[in-house]
Amino acid sequence: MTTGGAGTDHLMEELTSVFRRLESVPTEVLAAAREAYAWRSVATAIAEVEFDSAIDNDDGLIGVRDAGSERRLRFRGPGSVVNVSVIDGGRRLVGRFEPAMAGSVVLRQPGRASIRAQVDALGQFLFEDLSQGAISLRPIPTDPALPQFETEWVTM
Amino acid sequence: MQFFGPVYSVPVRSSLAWPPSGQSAVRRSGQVSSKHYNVQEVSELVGRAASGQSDAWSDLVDRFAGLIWSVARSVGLNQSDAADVSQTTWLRFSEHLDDLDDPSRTGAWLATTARREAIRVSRLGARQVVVDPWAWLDRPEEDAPDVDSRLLSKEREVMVQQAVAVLPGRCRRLLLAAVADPPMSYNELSETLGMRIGSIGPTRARCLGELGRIIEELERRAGPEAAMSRGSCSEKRSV
Repeated sequence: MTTGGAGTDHLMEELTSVFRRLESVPTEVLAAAREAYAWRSVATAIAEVEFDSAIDNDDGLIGVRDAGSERRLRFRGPGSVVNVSVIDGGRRLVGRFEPAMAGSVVLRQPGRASIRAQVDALGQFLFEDLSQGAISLRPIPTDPALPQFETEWVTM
Repeated sequence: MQFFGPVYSVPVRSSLAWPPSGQSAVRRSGQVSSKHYNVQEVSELVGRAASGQSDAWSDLVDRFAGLIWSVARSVGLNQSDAADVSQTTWLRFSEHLDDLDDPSRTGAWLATTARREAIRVSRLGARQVVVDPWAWLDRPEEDAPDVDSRLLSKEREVMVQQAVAVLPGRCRRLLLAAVADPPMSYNELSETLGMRIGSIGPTRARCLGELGRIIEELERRAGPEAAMSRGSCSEKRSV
C-alpha cells in the first residue's frame, strides 16, 4: 500500500480547498431536510410537473417576472390534470382540474398548517395569502372511486 | 456531530444494479465484494429509508445536505431561496425513495433536482431583488480566468462533494476530519475517529484512492448531465 503518490496528494489538496471554501449548511435548513421525511406519503400516486412556465417557457420573458406576472404549472395525475396559475408575486394560486372534479383540495406547506379549498362546479379552486416555500396539492374528490394523488412538491 | 454518525455494516452485493421499481425492501445476499461498496452503502440507506427507517433518512441528510446547499448557492440564490430549494429537493426525494431507477446514483439525482429547482427559483424574478444570480460569473478570480473554467470548477466542486457523500462512513469521516480547519493533529484524529495513529496515514491514502475512483466514475457517468447544466447556464446568461 502506498501512502500518498502524486495523485492522492493532489486530490487531498483539492479536497481541502473545496471543503474549506464550503459554506456550512444553516441548522434550520438541516432541520427542514430531516422533517421532509415526515411528509412522505406512502402508496399515493404523484402527479408530476408536466409544464412550468418558470423553466419551460420559450416566450423570451423568462427572468423579467414581477408582482403582476403569472407562473403557470401543469401537473398530470392519474385520470386528471391540474392546471395552476400563481399570481400576485406568488401570493395567490388559482387552479383547475380537468376533467372537473367535485370535492375539495388541500394545500400542504411544511412548517404551516395545511389549508383546504372547495372545488367549484367548473373544477376551479383558489388559495390566497400564500407564503414562499415548498407546496403540494392533494385533491379530495367527493367520489371515493376516483384515484388518489398528490402533486409533486414545487417551490413558490 | 457528523463524525460520529452511525456506521452500517451490512452484506453488500457486487452489482450496481438495483431491484426494479416497486421493490422497496433492500435485497440482502450473502455475496460480499469490496468493489463499489461505497455506493452500496448509500443504496442500502435509500432502501432502509424507503422502508420507513428514519435513522437512515437522517444519515442521508448528513451525507447530502451540503451538496444540495452548495448546488443551490452556486446557481446564485440567496440563503432564503436556497433554503426553499433545499426543502423542495428533500421533499421530492422522500417521495421518490421507492422508485429511484438506481439508488446508487442518489447524489446525481439530488444534485440534478436541486440544480433544476434552483434555476426555476432564480427565474421567479420577483423573489430576486437583492442578488444577481450570475454576478459571480463576472467577478474576477485569479484561479478561474474565464467563464467556462469557472463553470467547470463549480461542476468539479459539486462532483467532489458528491463523491465524498457516497464514500463508506469510515473513509468519509476520516477525510472530512483531515480537511478540518484548523487542521487536526494525528492525536486528535486518532481520538476522534477511534483509529490507531499508525493506521491513519495508510487508511487516508486508501480512502483517497477510493475517492479518486468514485470521481472518475461520476465524471464518466455525468458527461451528458454536465453538458446540460452548462447549456442552462449560458441560456440564462443571455437573457
